[in-house]
Amino acid sequence: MAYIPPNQHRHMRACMVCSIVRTFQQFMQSGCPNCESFLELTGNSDAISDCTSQVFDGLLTVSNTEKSWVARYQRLEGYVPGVYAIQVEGILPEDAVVAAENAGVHYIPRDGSVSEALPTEG
Amino acid sequence: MSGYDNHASDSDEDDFNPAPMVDEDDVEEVATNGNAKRKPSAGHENDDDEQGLARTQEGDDEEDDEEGAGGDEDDDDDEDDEDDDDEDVVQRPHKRRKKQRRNVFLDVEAEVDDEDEEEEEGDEEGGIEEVHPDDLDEQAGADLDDRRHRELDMKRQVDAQKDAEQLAKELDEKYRRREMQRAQKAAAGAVPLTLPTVNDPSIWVVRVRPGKEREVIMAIMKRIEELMNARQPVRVYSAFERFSSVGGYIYVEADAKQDMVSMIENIPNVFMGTPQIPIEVKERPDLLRKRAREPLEEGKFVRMLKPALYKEDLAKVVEVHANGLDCTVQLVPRLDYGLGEDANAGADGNKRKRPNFGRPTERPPPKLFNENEAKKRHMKFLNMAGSGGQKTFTYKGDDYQNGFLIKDVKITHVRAVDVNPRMEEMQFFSVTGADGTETLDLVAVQAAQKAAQTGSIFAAGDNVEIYDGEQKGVRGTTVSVRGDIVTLKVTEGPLNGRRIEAPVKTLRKLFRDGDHVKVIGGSKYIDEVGLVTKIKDDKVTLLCDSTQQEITVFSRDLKRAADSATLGNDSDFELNDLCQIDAATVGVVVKVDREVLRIIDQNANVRTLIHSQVATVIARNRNAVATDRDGSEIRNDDLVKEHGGEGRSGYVLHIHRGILFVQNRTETENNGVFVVRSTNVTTLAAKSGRTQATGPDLGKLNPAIQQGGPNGTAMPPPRSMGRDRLIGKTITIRKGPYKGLLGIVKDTMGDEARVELHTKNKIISVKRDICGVKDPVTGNTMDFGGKFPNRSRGGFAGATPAYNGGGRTPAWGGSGRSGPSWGTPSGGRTPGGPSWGGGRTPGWGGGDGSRTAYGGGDGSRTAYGGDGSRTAYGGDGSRTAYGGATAYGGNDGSRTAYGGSGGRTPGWGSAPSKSSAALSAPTPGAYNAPTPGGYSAPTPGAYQYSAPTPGPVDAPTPGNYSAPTPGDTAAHPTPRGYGAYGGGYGATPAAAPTPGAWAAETPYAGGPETPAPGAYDEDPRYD
Repeated sequence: MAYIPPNQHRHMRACMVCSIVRTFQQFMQSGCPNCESFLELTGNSDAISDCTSQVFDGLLTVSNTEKSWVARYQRLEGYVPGVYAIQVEGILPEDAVVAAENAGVHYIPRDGSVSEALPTEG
Repeated sequence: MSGYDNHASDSDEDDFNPAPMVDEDDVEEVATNGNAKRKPSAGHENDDDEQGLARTQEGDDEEDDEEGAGGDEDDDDDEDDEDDDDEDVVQRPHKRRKKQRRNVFLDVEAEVDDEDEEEEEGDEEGGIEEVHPDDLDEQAGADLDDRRHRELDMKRQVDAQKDAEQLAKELDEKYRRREMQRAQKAAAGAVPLTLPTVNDPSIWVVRVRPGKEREVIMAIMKRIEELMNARQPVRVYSAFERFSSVGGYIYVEADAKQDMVSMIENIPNVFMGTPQIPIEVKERPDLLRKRAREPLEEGKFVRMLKPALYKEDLAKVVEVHANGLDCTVQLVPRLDYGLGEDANAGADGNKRKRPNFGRPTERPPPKLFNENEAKKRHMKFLNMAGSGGQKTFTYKGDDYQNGFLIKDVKITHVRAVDVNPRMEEMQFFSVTGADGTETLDLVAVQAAQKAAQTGSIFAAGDNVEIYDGEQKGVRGTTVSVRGDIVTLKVTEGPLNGRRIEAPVKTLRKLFRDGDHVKVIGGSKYIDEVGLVTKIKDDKVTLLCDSTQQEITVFSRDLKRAADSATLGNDSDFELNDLCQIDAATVGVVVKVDREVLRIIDQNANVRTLIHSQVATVIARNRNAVATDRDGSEIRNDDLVKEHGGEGRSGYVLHIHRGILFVQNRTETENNGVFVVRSTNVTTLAAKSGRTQATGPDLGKLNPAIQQGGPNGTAMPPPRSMGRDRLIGKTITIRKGPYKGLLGIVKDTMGDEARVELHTKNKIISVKRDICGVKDPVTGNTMDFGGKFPNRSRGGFAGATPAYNGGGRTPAWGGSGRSGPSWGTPSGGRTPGGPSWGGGRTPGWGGGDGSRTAYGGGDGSRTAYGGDGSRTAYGGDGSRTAYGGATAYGGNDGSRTAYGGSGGRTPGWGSAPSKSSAALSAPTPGAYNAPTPGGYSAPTPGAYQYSAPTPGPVDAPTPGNYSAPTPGDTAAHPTPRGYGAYGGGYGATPAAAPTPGAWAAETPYAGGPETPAPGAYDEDPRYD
């Protein structure tokens, strides 16, 4: 269930890798549905506080990550439908970055620090 | 880097066989024209955008096994390429299957020949891959018809707006993007973002209740889940909010408006009333733009956003935590140490009542942590660790170090932009050096003001140096500044004489030792002017002209200066402003420094305050009025002279209650400003030809001529209390164009009356002194005693018949009697005082005058003694009052001055207690005794007083003359004066001024006396 009742909104955190938004408890119970293989958040509160961020901006619900341009633009293609953040602050720990790279996931910070604009055509 | 190289190698590989790659993906998928278009574009990409293509390939690999080996390519080398090939081989069939399915579908719906259409269908298929084929069919059958028509319409509409060329371009682009998109999976990462096309779903903006955006999004999520669980198609692809930038809106992505509407319908907080507007294609990426947060750095100053207690307070970043989400800041605590606590709060700390909900409570002012304060009430909350200078406290769960609160906050709770630290905030953060001097951490200041670097700091003619970039080291003179670009004329080196442009941030100003420079910004030394003594990098040390201190500032904050320092011109306060310091204190600014004000307050204390400690400037009240010791009114800018004391004179700057702030420009202390009570000054000159006594009116002063009141000037300023009695009266107008007309006074304003005429229905304004009050019934003229003009003219006589009728009470009789006593001083005054004030001052003030009188006339004294008046006193019911006077005697006696004539004192002292007889008895004796001793002694000193004094005059005898004069001089006469006044006091309004003097000296003056002189009540000055 991706729905989070309003009274839980203050516990919402966003995964720094895939930007999915869940509550701390949800991350504890089932981890990150997209990044669990390498972040291993389930039951690991330290990992959750390191790899997810309470500081995010823009809430995005996606029903179809393939079809939605928004999802593509947010690099959410292939992820599960659910609630994502548009911008996630925070710095992913180095070992998590390495783990992601090893898992074939190229980690791009979602905090706006990296320019993601399309390269200008010459 | 290896990853990047790898991409390059990948793309090399692509270059070898670009066509096959395309083929394998899309041959079946697209019609031939699409293929033709795609080829060049693919080539194009290879040129510009190798990475993209690399991704394209990787994407292929990862399409179906995201966590698989696909990612390894990023890290590993050529062997991966082989892997790639393998994987490609493996994957191809799978992909084909997918495409085939799509194609199958295409065939079914072949009536629409547009590729885009087909493309989209394909995508949709892909999107719901997991759905059972049956469902698929269902969906296709049920929905497609209607939807496709709508889509088609939509597309046509859009297409119709574009010319063919653009269309072609778009198609080209679209296909290129598509290709990449398909290849790109989220995990693949660094693929350039795809710009939206017209074929992507539309996005509508929907109005929602501000602050409820997230709830609405969650509600939509819930609906989507419900639909999915019900195995129903979800036709809204996404919905999102950007609360931080635009509140009150959410954005919904769907193919058709109807889909979007049905999704958001009946969701609470969605405003369906306002129409949903589609977002232009080219504006869509802006909706998702990420704004890089201003990076926090240690030592940087930030403003707090939360908690509310510290909102907008300045804080200094001590540490930024590794996760980038939290930081430790140092800020000046706002603590009340439990002073504001509700004493009735329950033991569990629950307040019985919520402190004013919704309204911001008053915050304690920022102050550094004070251990002692905390100990007073909250010892239990206080823990300390460390020792010496590094003592840290834990108080109520917060850490305090060096008086600062050390707090961990989320980075969202601070703001790093628009910090603009103010000087008074910065002073807390100043670093105290070993020698006790406080200096600001220049680096920190610089960090705080980094953003402020603009071209405005350069002015034409500045010597500058380029210190960064290719042209580093080039020196020149600025010619012009446009935005952030400075044009400079090179003055040294090979480029000499050339004009070049350079961005502001690569420039720094160049100064030489000995340059006369002015600080133009950036530090607390703004506007200081000085000589450059040392230059190190971009830090310049200069010797201030004004303070002769050396200060160090950044060269960019300097400019060459020819002028001298003008400090503090950006202050809210100006010299001579009247300021409210606290609720009970006001003061006048006598010095404005950049950071501090020197203020002389109403008690004549000079305080040094920082600007923020001074509440407000009190606007100068033009109507402020006070009365001097004579009862004359004092207004701003009048020239007044202090009575007694140093006899200072000056122009009235401000009048506050009974206090005058007077400025004498010839004095330097406190900018010439001094504080006096209004009752301690005499008016020398009024500012504007206001009616003012120009000198003593001898006639009025002479009691023989002026029966009742001694003089007019001593009268209280005319004023009417409450409702004007003239209002409602029937009057006739005695003069002017309306002469003779009858009317009713409707209203009065000052000396004018608004009169409603009986004859005409008209209201006119006439001077009230040309109104004769008539009895409305009989038409007879009525005496209107309380009339304004009467009062002012007739003075007490008019107002209080009691005066005239001295007979009323023996006490009043005294007034008659006081005549003589008065006579004496006034007589003395008259001749003696070329200046009214001067003459009188001695007489009345410290009792000098009275003294004089006495002294002057030993004979008069005698007269006094023998005076019926005295007797009257004795016999007077006001004797009691006299007793008060006695008290004076006592006082006087206690006064040192009096001591001189010790003999007298006792005489007086006893007098009161005794009967009138006793009074009269001591009087002469007392006087006589002191006369020689007391008088002679003081003579020389106070001569000035005596000079003008009555002494000469009233002392009819030359012999007396000399004798009394000294008496005057002596301060002692006071008591006598008092005594005399005691008599004459109530009786003679002239005595009025005296109280002023008394008030100063003997606070109770009013008290005991009051009863006797009923006249006081009439006299506002005594209030």
